[in-house]
Amino acid sequence: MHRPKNYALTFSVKQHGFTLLEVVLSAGLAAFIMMPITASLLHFNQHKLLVQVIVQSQSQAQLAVAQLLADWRNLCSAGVTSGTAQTIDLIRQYQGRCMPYSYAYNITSHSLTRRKFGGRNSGFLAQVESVDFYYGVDSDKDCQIDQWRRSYQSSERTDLHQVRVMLQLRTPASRQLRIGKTILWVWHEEDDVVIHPADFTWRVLDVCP
Amino acid sequence: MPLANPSIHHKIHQNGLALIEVLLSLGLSSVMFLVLFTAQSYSQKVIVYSQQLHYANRLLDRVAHQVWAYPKHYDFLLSTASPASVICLYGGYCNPVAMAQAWGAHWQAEMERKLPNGQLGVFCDSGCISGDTLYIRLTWQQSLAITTDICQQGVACIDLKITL
Repeated sequence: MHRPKNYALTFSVKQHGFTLLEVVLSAGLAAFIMMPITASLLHFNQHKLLVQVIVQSQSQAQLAVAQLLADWRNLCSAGVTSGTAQTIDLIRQYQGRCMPYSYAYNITSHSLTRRKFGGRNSGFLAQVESVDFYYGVDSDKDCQIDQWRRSYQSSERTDLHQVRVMLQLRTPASRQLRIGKTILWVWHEEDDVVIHPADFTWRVLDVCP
Repeated sequence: MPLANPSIHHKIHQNGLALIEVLLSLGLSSVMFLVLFTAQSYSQKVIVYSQQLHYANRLLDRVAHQVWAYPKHYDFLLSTASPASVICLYGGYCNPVAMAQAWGAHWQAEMERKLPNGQLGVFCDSGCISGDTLYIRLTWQQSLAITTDICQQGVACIDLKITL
């Protein structure tokens, strides 16, 4: 390659770095901007988790109540035969026949199980934290409930009018939620679930007009 | 190849952001975040309101089921119950009047505990006799509630009508 002899190349590039003050101010500004952004993201995430849990718990409670009421709708023969605080035995229609069924709470699987006479226990309602039955009975035949008791036997001279089902359900929730106790639920830290009530009253039958 | 202009003067000018630009950007970001937070807070309030409505509806359903058990004693649902009446709901034998009072006290306590300034109302058009209409009304304080026929602004209410 030919190069002229008188060639003078003057190339001056001045590169100044950032001063300490500029770096500190830039970092401060970045932090100032990042703080609300991070807080917003965390807040949005919390909000999203909260909405998810609310919707899940509400639909879960409605489904659980509907499932129990639907299952207990077609009673026949003696109807509810016996019950304790955590179990209930009744006779309901199954394929056109009256069949005894037992419902009980299983603490290890956190579920309400159902057992057909002569059959095995099967899970009926999942994610149950606790269940408590109260039996509203009329012992003097005046068509009004005069006692709410923890157990019931159809052989006793009482009419069963209603059953109060005090149900507590578990809804899985993200650990990030950590909302503690609110008016409507309790956070269970070990299992990452919120426990919420789904109480309802079951009118057994219209004993009186 | 020979260079036409052998002398190259390369001068680089780097202008940073002016203070006014930085301030404007910060101001714009602040407004944006303010709007986002306001929207978020409002959304949170709506969720709380929805949760309250859901709870109140469930309670109303339970109340509606219970009142049927005491058809001649609706008037006593909201009369003063003694603190000992709670035993009626947990194993004690009680007459229908005491039982109705115990339920009324129980629901009222539940409303007060779960909803801000929660109130239960049970009343009839006239005398609570057959053919009359029984109203069960739940009210509580809620800033998002709008004015309706039966409730004023800031008070949420839901009610149920039962023909006796």
